[in-house]
Amino acid sequence: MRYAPFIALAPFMVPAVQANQYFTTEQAQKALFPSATQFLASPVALSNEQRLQIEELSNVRQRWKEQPVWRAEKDGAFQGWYIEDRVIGKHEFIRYAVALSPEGRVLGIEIMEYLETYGDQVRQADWRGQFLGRTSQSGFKLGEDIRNISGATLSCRNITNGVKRLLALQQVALTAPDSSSKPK
Amino acid sequence: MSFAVKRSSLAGVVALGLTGAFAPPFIDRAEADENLLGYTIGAETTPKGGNELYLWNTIHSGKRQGSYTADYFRLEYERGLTDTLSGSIYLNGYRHKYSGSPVPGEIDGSLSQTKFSGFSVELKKNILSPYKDDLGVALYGELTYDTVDSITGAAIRGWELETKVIFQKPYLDGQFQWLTNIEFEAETAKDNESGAVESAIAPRLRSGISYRFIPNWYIGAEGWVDMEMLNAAADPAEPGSGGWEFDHWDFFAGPSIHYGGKRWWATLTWAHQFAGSSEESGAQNRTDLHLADHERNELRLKVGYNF
Repeated sequence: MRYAPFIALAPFMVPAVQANQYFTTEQAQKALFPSATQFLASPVALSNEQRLQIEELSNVRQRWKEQPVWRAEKDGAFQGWYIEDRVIGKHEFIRYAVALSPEGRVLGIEIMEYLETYGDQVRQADWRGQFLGRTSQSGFKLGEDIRNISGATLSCRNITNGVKRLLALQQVALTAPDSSSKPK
Repeated sequence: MSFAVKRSSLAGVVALGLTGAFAPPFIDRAEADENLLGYTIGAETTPKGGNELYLWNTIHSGKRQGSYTADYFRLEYERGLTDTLSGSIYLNGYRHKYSGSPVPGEIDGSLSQTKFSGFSVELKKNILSPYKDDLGVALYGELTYDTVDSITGAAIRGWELETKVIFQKPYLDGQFQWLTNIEFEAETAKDNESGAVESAIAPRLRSGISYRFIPNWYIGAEGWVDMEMLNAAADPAEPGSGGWEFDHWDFFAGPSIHYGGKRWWATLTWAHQFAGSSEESGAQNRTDLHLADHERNELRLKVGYNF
């Protein structure tokens, strides 16, 4: 049988099932808004027009028609948006979460699930920290504004573009609660 | 007919098995140079310190008559020397099984043999990243020493230099890839029995696409056109003989499927010769295919393993 040797190798090649889910939604929410006392699910259903607007603002395609979003509150005061997203990795989707301030500033990101061979460094604080404080007006050029990780360039690019796209989504589709619930 | 240094080969399946069995515990390393297609390669390189083993088997079948199968085996070890430069070493081998004089006058009689043939060394340099610079570009060079004629199985002493300029353009966030290789080969070989020396140059254009239709799985298609110029040594008995002359051209295309996981990947490609030139007479090319240096069909399986 011509491919018998390959079959014999299969036990060595089957990837071990690894725990690559680093955060559940609740854990990521707590990590990104540690002082929040409540997360209110506010999923966004995007119209085609809104998706086009997001693409125009960010120059990144909005793949999803629905975006999971939560409002983070502390004792009833609005603290910001918690958004979960998926982007293309080399083999699988990369799941991550972004915290945005009411003014549209990145408060933090967490990688929730990463299944790629290389590039686990995207989970490290110094790489994620590059996004802190960025707004839709900031630069997001990989290799210039955001450091690249060798061997994981696709992951770095798509996470970077994902954050840029979510900042545009906030502008297009998220409305902050009235001023009475601004953070204290 | 050229001596056909179009290796693509090595045996060593068992060696890979042993390597896998005694591999160190998995560490988080790299797989940037993953082959989405069987023949047309991408512009990325394995990052610094990354190691990868490849196992190739290409089955060639279908000549003009009789029965003909040639397996090209190849075992490759690749290491990232820097983040943009990788180096590889290969062991190459062939298994020939044919009968019924598949190409009368060129491949006569029958043969059944499996032989280690030689080695290759390769360097690949990434110039532009497909994801940072939008269009990926890389340069590639490979030197091969062969002791077996890949087509006939005859004993030779041959050298081949293969160079490529590689282009890779991603679309849809990298879900869809377009790959193109412009290749140029130069080869020379001496037949051990007759002592005849033959040289050839062969430009080739390969292009293909690959689409990730579900996580981990890509489907693709690729094709290539190549031609070969021969420089046979002059025969003292025939004044004016020798010199460079056009030998043949051919066109192959076919589908490909690829699986990529965290530690290993595999690519299976089937390629069919759709058109080719005759050599000297139409009688040798009744099917409008070039079946002296190439075959009707090729089936290639590549498996890559990161450690």
